[in-house]
Amino acid sequence: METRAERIASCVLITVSGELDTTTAPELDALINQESQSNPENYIFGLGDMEYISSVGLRVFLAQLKKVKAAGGKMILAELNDEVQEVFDMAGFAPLFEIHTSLAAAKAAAGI
Amino acid sequence: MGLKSLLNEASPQRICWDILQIASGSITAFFLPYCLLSPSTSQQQWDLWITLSVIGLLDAAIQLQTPYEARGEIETSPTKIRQHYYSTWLASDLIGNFGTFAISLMPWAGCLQLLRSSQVFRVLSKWENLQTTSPLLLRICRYSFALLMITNWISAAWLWIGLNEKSEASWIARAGLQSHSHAKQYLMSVYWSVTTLASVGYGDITPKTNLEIIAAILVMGAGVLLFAFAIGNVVAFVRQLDNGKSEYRIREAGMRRYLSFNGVTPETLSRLRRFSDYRWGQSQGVDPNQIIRELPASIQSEVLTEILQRSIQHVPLFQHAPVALRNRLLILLRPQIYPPGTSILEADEPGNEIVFITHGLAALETTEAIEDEAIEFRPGEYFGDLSFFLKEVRNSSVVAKTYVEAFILQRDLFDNLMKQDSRLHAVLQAMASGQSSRNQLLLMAGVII
Repeated sequence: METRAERIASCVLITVSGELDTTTAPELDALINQESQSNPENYIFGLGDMEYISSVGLRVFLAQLKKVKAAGGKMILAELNDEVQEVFDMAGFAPLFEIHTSLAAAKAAAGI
Repeated sequence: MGLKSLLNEASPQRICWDILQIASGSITAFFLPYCLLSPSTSQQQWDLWITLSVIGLLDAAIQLQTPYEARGEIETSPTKIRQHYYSTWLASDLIGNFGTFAISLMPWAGCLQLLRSSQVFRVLSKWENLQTTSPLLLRICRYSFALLMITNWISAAWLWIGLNEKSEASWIARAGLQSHSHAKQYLMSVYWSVTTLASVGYGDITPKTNLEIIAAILVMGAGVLLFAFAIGNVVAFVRQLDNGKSEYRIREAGMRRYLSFNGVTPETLSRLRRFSDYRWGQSQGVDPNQIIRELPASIQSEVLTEILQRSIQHVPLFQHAPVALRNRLLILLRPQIYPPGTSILEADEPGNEIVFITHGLAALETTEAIEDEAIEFRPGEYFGDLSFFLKEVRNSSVVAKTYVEAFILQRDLFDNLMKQDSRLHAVLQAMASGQSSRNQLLLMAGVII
């Protein structure tokens, strides 16, 4: 798995590629924690190249969602592939997140 | 509308009309012989017979237009309905109901009215075929009516003999009943016929004349046959009443003997016995799956929808599914019963099933409560979806706390259905939205089921 973080105005854009599973999820978790230090208002996750997500990966997103909501910010997921989208849909998590099909739409929703 | 309802054999109006026919047939069977032997006929009695005859003729007119069932098909062709009626009940209806009007021509033509009693048998047989009431109860009614009717007719015949013998030689004279009322004479006649038919024979009323002796011989012979028939039927009824349960118990006991012989522990056998009792209470020993499989595919889902109405109204999968998809799911989902204490889903196994509870209580088996609450699943709730959609191995088990009845959606079935019907995806998605908070709770606690 590869991750990359980019700060754009009050937002942080984190792109994830590869498989988000038990072994790689702590790496993403650590990156999110690191970016949180600078107190961004909104988070955008570009998941266009993410091929697989496990329960541990979902937990990272759910835990972050809780924090962002508590701080009054937005957490936006973008470009989920069909398999990943199905996991969010079938587990009932899709309505919890703001999900966009393109990164541009996600950025617009975050006001950047 | 009234006439149309009367032409429908199962309508409440027709059932009321049929009850009237039973009343008419019963009055004829039991009261007519008494009246015919009475020295005088009152105007009220005349009015009664004429009324019953008019009702009988109206019934004949209704029969002539009522569709009938033959080999499971309803025959509605007017010609065939008429032919069917002509070949079955026309003669008895005409003779029975016109008998009243023929009395003025021939006094004994009144006896012809007794044919109206056949209405009782016709209605009871029809109800038995319609299967709206217990067939056993209807058969008991039919046999009881026949027994009482025959006894009454024998009584009437015995009184007729007494009244028509030379007065000093008749059994009425010998019993000192000449000066008694017609009702008393009839009562004693009933008494004689019952004691003779039942082979009691007290001997207080005995046959002396040739005609009486011949009648007594015939009645004694008939008594043997009637009571053998009645006792045989009573025994058959009693056996039928308990037959299903006895057979089920014998089969289950045989299975337990086999298991015990093969080393199954008494505790397990005891649980098995309780499970058998539960299953008997739920399905009376019938395997609904086998019954359903034997039905034509076209009516399988219809029957399933009706018999599982109570169960499926709670299951979100069915609530969100369009009718065609719901019918398909009903046929394909596997119903399952779990006794208390058994695992419904086991930890360390791949998530290949989603379980939809329709009855009972199940609970997540964990050493600690999650956020201070035990995770329980009740009718209308489901589980197994997290490991199923994430394609992961479960790390916790779900155990039945009471008897749990559930539908199981297995992965192979799900994959096939997803290929065949794209609407399933939307149905599952709609269903899952109601599950998000519980799944979130489980996932954050690290529980995958």
